[in-house]
Amino acid sequence: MGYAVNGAGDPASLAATATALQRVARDLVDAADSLDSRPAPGAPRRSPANRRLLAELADVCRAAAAVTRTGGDELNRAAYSQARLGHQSAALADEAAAAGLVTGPTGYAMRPGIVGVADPADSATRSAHLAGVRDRAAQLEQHMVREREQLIARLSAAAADAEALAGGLR
Amino acid sequence: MPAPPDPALTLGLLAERCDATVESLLLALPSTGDRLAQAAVDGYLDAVMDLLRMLAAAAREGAGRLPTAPVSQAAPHVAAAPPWGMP
Repeated sequence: MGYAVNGAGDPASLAATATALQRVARDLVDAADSLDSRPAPGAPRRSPANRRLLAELADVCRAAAAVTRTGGDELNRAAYSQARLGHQSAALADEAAAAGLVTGPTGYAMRPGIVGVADPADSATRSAHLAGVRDRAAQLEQHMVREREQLIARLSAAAADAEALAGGLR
Repeated sequence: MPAPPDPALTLGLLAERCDATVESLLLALPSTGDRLAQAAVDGYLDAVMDLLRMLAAAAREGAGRLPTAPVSQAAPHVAAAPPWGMP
């Protein structure tokens, strides 16, 4: 691959983190709804200052819920995408191996050495196969790069929102 | 999370949920397999954990400033014997 890959990634770990984020997003919305609700009959009257405090905390809860929901959605999407692209890459590698191609540092290539008889038609077929496999590998890589860039952009924006919210609470 | 009518209780539960989520995110090891994406995920999670810690602190502080509902209002079906022994 043409970009920095330090490992295979772990879709399950992304999905588990996404679940924790989505759960807290729901809790934050529930808390905001509860804070916004009218006091029960007979409950102590709320002073204007306390009403303002509760309304502000409810707003922060909803904004925090949006931030955590965004992160959960993005990590879930990344988990699904990583699993799908990993499967497609493996299938392509299997197909290439079956066609007598090998993978090297620069991608797919013909197996080195003399293979079979010098048949121009067979050689042309294998060349066409190699071109097709390389083309699909390039498409997969482009797709991965696009998805990575979207993940980075969306998580960076959500992180900036989280920092702004936390700064408002300090 | 059930929504108790008493806002002080709601804030207490909110603080606990925020703390619990921070703990679970600290234990999570989401792996993207890509250096730049991993940095974005880690940075996002750091920011979210900081936000949740701040929110938990604000919720606790807010809960401390609110009057607590009397027991008979918070749980009207109750356990109803008043502590001072009236019928």
